[in-house]
Amino acid sequence: MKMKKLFAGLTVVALGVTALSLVACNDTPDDPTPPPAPETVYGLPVAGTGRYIKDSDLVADGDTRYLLYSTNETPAENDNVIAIRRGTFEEGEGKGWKYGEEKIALTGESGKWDENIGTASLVKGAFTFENDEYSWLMAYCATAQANDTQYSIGLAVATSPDGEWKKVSETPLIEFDADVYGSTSVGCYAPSLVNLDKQNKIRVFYTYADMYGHFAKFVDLDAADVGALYTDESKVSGEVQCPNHGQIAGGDAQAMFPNADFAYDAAAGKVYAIKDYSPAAATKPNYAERIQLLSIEEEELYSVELGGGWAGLRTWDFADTEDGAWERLYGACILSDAYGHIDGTKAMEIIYNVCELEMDDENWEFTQNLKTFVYTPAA
Amino acid sequence: MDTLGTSISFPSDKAMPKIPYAFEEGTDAFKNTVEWKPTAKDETLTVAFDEATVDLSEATHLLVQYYSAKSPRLQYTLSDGTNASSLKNGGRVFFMGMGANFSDLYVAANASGASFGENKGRLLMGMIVIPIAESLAGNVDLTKVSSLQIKATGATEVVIGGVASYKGERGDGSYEGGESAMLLNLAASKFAKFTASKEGTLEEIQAKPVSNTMYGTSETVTEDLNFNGKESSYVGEWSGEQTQQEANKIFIGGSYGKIEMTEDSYGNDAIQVTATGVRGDGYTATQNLLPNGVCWAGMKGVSFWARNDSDIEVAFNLEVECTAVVTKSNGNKQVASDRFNIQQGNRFVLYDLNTGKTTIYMTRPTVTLPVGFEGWVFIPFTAFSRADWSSNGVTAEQFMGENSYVNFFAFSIEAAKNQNKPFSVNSIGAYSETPLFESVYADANGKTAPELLGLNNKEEN
Repeated sequence: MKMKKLFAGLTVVALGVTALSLVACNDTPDDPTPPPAPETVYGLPVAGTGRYIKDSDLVADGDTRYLLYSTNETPAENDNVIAIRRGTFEEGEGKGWKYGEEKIALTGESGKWDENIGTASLVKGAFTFENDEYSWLMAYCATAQANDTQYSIGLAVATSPDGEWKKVSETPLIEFDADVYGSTSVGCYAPSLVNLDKQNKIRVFYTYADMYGHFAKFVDLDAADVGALYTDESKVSGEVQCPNHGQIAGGDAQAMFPNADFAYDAAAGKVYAIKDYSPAAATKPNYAERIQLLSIEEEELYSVELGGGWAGLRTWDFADTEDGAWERLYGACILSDAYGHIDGTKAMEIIYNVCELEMDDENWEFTQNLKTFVYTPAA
Repeated sequence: MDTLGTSISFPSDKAMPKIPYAFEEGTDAFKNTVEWKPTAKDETLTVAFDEATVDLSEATHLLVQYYSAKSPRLQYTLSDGTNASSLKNGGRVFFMGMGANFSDLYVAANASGASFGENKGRLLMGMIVIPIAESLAGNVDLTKVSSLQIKATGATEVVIGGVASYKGERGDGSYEGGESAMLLNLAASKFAKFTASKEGTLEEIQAKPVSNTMYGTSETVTEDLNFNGKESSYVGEWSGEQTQQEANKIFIGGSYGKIEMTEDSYGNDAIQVTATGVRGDGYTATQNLLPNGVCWAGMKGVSFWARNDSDIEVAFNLEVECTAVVTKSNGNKQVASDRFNIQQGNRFVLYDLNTGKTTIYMTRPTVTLPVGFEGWVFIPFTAFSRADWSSNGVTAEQFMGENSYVNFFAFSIEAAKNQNKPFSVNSIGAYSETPLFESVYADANGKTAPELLGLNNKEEN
């Protein structure tokens, strides 16, 4: 049994998360005393020593939640993998969402385009691949480069989010052409999936980054046969660059839309997004210092006529974090149903990343953890 | 009898008139006007007045509501039934755009009359302003003028509307502060007051005639410029030694470049533009590709066929000069022009003929064509901003707004980044219906690019 130390900490949120406690584990075969049952941990998981949890995607499939995120497989290493935990809710004081054991969902493959895996998003639906039926689809970004450039996006399928994930192709579906668009650009990253019809009409939102900046784009997929996406061009739409005007908070000359997660309110015909503020912090880590929640009329995505653009709903910064403790807020997601849909009239749970500053902790990378806000729309 | 005898030139007569626009504006600007299409030289349009005769003996100017998409040379003659007075050689004739009260746009008439080109208000709805004493010669009895006769010098198309007189004080020569009097008021239909001679056609209209040619079977996309058979007018190269005439439509004041003929997707002649070297400000530019001007007022954006013939994402800008009536800092409302070009961060539509896909792209920092693109480009006018160095008063709201027109259209290319990276264009026009993105989920309801272009009915090469 592994030795584990969990740091004590308090995270009080409206969801009723309780404190974590320190647990020690006796592991001497001659000791007749059975080890105490581990205490149940409620709330968002906290990364262990030398580990990080970042860039999450949280979906609710009925009474079950699935938390998808990036983490390092090896403590104190930067060997990124996609992991998932299943969450269930327990009623009662001091209880709440309980996330189970971490499972590695996807890893990169040495020598392949996805050797360095990035972030991922998942949705439920009805998909076929190589004559087998799958009910979950994942989009993930990855690159063969070791320096966080030239990301592309690929797909994987599974019958259960915490089951086995199967990559769909040896090549990415949304490919960044570094020869044309620059080898030093980040490329196509931060995929965010929406199952538009809750069957297999999929929208892949992503951030596209080149020398001109970071912008949100999407393509629509007819994903009934996921394999056909790679052989039949008609199954993949042209790409659409999302509007980047309106109430977008930022300090760039032209509004940027980096690292965004999207959700769809089909009834209201609106799309919601939570994005990193740009520009990023000038000191390390060079991550965002704020996150912003926005919405836009769906029809504005489909036309180049200038509409009202994005409506800014809420911006959070360090002052909104507990005790103002966190100066980096980034990599957020909106809790949606299993299809990426929400009801925009109801409260939204926002899961976001925090981390220490390098000046305070040279191992800041392994301080990356998840926190949550709740946004309540105006009546 | 008060006649126009020997003309006496007053120094102040050379000032610019400040006469308020005398006719209907806005959506009723063309109400009850007539479109006259003479077929040959010497055909005439006779305009009678509301009264059998009018007294112009104290009037300083004759005002004629006028619009033409062409540049007809027209002779204007006042008649009393027996004698007449016409524009004299050297007589100034002014043009004021609808809404203006000041004009610095004028031409000097000759014996055949006066003609207004694209930089003289052509394609704007407005009025001709004729200084009676200065510009007319003859022996008409100004106390009992019975008609205005307009004579053509060839086949053309022109809209004539109301007629008015203006009486202003000579003063500083602006004649400001005077009064107009309607001689022919078109608040009601007065078609019977207009008579066309010989074969010329005459038609009463209520709206501006459409001057644009619709593209193919499209009802919402125009084709105002194509390059069929126009090699001699466009092909040329600027490599440092040619004259402007030799370089043809490549501007020799900029970086090096060339225009060659090629074919578009339909086998029609198109032009291929290439920046070939850096010089001066670093931009290769074409000359004005639309010397006759074009009216895109009320349209939503510019459209054209294009092909990226290079191995990079090629980028180019569009330089468009828009003419409209603006309010100057001194309060004068007059015709002015400003240059607009495309700014970074604006979305535009690409329809690729080879993939059948519609893409919504973003200017980076100008129009960019992806590698391998061949198809149609739709750029909304909202993507244009007035150039920093152009400040004659045309606002963003007036750009392509009512009573505006384009008198300059050119491509410019940042030569360093796009050197020897050619692209081809054809079928330049404007669109009135914005093409929408369509996918397996998003329904464009018949407004996709190929549907709006009517491409289903057009064969590709």
